[in-house]
Amino acid sequence: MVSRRSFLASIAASGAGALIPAASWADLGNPSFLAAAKDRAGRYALCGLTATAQIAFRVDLPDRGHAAAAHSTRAEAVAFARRPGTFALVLDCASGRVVQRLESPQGRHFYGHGAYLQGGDVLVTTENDYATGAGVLGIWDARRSYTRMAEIPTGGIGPHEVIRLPGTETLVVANGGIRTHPDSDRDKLNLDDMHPSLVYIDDGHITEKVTLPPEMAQASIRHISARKDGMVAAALQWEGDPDRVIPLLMLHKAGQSPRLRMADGADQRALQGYAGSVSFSGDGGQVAITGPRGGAAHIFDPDSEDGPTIMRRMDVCGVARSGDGLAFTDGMGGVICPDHAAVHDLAWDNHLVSL
Amino acid sequence: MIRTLALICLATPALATAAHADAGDVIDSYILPGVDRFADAADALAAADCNMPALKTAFAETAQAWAAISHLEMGPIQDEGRSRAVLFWPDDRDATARGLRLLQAQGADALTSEAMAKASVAARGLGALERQIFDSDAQPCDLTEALADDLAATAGQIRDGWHDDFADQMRHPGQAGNTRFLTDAEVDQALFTALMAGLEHLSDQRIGRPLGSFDEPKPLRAELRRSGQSLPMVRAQIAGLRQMAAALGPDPQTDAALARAQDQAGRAGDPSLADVEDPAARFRIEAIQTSIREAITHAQAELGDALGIQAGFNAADGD
Repeated sequence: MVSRRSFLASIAASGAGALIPAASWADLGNPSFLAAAKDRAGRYALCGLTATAQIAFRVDLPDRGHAAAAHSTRAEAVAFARRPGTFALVLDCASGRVVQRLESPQGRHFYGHGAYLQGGDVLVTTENDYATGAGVLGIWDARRSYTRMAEIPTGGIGPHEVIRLPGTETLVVANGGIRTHPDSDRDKLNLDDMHPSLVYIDDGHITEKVTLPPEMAQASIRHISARKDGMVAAALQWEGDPDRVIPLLMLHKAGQSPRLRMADGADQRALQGYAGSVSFSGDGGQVAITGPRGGAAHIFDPDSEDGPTIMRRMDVCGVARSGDGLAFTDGMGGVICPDHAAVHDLAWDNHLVSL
Repeated sequence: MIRTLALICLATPALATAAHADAGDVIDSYILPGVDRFADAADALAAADCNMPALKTAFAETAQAWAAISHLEMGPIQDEGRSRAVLFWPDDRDATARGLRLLQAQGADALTSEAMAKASVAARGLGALERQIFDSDAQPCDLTEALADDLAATAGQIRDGWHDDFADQMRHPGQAGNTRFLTDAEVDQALFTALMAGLEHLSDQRIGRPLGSFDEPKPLRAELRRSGQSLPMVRAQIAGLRQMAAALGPDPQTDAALARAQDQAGRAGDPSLADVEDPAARFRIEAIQTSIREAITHAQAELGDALGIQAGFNAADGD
């Protein structure tokens, strides 16, 4: 049964997606990244950035965006409102037009991240079933005007980021472990009883669940990145005793125990228990976590036990692969790519998404 | 990895022609004298041995010198988490008392400078020294001396970091190897961000935490209340912020609001802000907070909007 509203939406979407050939990313000046931003007038936008640190396009957003999911071929992106947002916008990045507005179903809100599967045919979103606190993945049919197809439990509370393992249809979800309810805004309701986890989901079923040692139960597993060989890196946010200095990078390979990595005492302490984003480099030889509170990114060799190289930038938060290396964005407007850097008159928000 | 930043593009040419904040003036007239004063005060504290009057005088001067620069959360103060090693506050779980007990239990081995540098930040710095000096008559003396030496070392690193390196990085953005600052505009932005964060910290934390609400004031939450430095630190930070804002650019209304706050703080009573429970005294403290909030609005308009500077925002929130 097709409701009038979704019928109209499907006409709108087919106009943009099927009848008229959709723009590709190449048509938009080959952006390498997407990033949400705030401009000096206080307006929010989603921008495409090139590998030379320039802005390829800008699409205005009605409110503060958190992260975006990029379609693999079409110049289409889903921008998520900050949690506990109940909407996400599917944007045609060529025209700047909102192709579709996704509303979270009754009793759910988005957590701010999502990913495409199956060559862009399916979108998955992290969501909170806030009556029970259970985390779910929403599954949307991107070929049929983003109709809601199904829901999958994530096996934990507060699923924050979801990614697809490269070259597979396996999903990896970071269950942050923090319960929130839209009635109490962004308040954290269970900091003394957290069980964050990293889960692998194949074909709708959890195949592996990774947890931290008990003394690190208050480390929220929030942002993740994966390497071609299946290694997953997770950035942690510490909710426990503020005078404890704990590792903020977890590395994991399916079937193995997680490894925790950190800098020496004082450099680690400078991060103030907070890693904002994480990414492997393009060649997989590096993995970086960003520390906006510490004004530094820590760049590790994932295959050794060495301490990190430290790059100091105020308010650095976004990180993504760029060529063989890494690119960073910050709240001061800086975009730092391997061979290029520029400062834009914008404040980059938390995340940088590579295309 | 970041290779040489061969190409630094000014993406928005408009920025290059916009009116500039005077970063050099901020560094020369406010920051460098401020870090010098803090390091000198901490040296005096370390030199006081366990002489109580000398300790108390030097402690007050160090706390106030710190308050005047504590919002410069960048470079030498941010690196290695030094700001929290100088003063671990707020400390709602009393981690300072716990950390000090642990240090004492560990004996002399825990008191070397190397061991102190690795100790919990809650057991170091001004908060720990305050307990030692004002609750324990500085006994045991070797612990007090180790804490004072450690604080003096941290203060010295902050002073040297600014003089030897960071001031130059701010003065010469975009030079090879300088990924911290790429453009002049970004330097202005860093200073403006610190100014705004300082005003907000002053209003919401230093003043706001003990104020609590009218029905539920929280005098025990005042910063360094045992030594009666809560109000003097508020005064010192207002003075520091006022100087910093004036050096950044023309700021008549911001300056007037901060002058008002300074005057109001001069007339407030209890140095430990314990009188937040008394309605009349509370009113005087709230008035300081109101003036600071006005200063925030004016600084945004006079310095942020007029000079085209936007504060960064990732460090202040999170997701």
